[in-house]
Amino acid sequence: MQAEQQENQRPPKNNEMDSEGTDLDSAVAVQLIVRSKRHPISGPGSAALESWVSVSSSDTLTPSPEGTACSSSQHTQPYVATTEGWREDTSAPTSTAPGVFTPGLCSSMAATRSQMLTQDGEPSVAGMVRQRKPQTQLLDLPNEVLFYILGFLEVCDLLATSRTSHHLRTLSLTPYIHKTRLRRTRALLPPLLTSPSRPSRPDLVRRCIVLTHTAFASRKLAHNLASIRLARQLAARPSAETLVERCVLPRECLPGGGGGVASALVARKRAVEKERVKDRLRGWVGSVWKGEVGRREEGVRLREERAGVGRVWRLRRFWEGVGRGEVTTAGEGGGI
Amino acid sequence: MATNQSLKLQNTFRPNGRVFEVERSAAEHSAVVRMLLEDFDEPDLLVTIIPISIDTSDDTLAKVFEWATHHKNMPKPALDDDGDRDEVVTIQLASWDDEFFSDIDSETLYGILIATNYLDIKPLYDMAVQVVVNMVRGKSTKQIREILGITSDFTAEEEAAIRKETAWAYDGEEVPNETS
Repeated sequence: MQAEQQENQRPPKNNEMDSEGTDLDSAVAVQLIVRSKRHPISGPGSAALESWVSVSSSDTLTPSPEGTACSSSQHTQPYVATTEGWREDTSAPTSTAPGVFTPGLCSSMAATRSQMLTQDGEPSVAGMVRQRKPQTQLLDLPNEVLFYILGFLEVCDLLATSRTSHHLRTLSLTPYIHKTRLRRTRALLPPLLTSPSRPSRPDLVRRCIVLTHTAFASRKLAHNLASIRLARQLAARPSAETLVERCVLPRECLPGGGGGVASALVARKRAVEKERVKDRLRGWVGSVWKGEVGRREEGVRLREERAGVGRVWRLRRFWEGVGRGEVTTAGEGGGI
Repeated sequence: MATNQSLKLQNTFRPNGRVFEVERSAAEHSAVVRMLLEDFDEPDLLVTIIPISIDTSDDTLAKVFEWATHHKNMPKPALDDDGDRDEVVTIQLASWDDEFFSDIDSETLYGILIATNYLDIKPLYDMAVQVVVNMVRGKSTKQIREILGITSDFTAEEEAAIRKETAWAYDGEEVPNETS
């Protein structure tokens, strides 16, 4: 087809043609609509027939833009697109839309596709049905749709998709996608860099994230001063011997000094000694307490009983008397 | 111009396609239909069945028109707006759309992609693309194959060559044996 050759030569021309193409489209569309009104589509056979009729008529009726748009999509469909030029053709909706618009042409496109896929000589309804797989898969989508989807992905995702299958590999490694990705990033970065949420340099200095030269120098000076002061104070410390004498340190901490225990175990040794003393004291206190206190308690009870002191004791005696019937009601008040 | 007129659309890709009766304001989401209406705004058009030819099932188209009908009052983008890809914004799905997409299977989703691409329904197309992108984003090769139902058609040697080529990208991914 002649239009097809034009197509391959230079993609940009499509855009020029679009503006005038719309009018031509509409003219054709009217005719086709009228046609479809006149012959309503009723059965399988007539649909296929109609599509062929409209193809032949559209070839004579329409100038290049129609044929261009439609034939381009029809031919690129089964193949993998590799050139950037191709993408520019089909990506702009305005260039594809008018072509796809006219019904007759597009059913012809579908018919041709089924013809190509099923290798049938005649485009038949059976062919179209056979072409349909039980389930639509992602790879059945037109390349332009896949392209659009891939355009949203980042490098790592594109790398992953490129490893899934031949078709996706060709698509996701297309230079066009990566060019647009880079272009997008270039457009995306500057506003981010200049955004108001990005803290300014003085702000960063204030938060001690960025150090100015003076801040750096003063910090270094402060470090030096601190180290000098520490060194002096360390030198002025009293010796271990003096500390032992003042009972600040245990004798075991001295290098040569005593008890035959490692200095790390001194604290533990002290604790064990203390515990042992405590145990002995506890045992002594326990025995003393039990004997002495038990005896004293007994003495108190006996004396109270003898002397009749204590409210509880008297009450108990009274009620015991009542129980025995010894105490009269008159004597009750005096009893209590 | 009255907006509650109905248009009739029929999918003529397969014989005996269902005739959809869609409100004019809903159908105008499709740039294709809108262009058609702008070019011939005749009463004639409103009684004609507008033939469209898309390789999708009637149910999928019904879904598309369901979306369009729900969003019929949404402002439509200008016709000459061909979507500059330099500023890609990630679309946040509204709750209704989220539900809309949550109960369709992948086949219908792909069907919607094809249909919206054909009818040039930009908002729905973008959303569907976004859904697919979210399915793929951040996944490993194997996961992508599982999710999208792709069978690897690489031979073992090709696979090895690809792995060698981008060996740096295989950190933390389980090693080969995917093809065998």
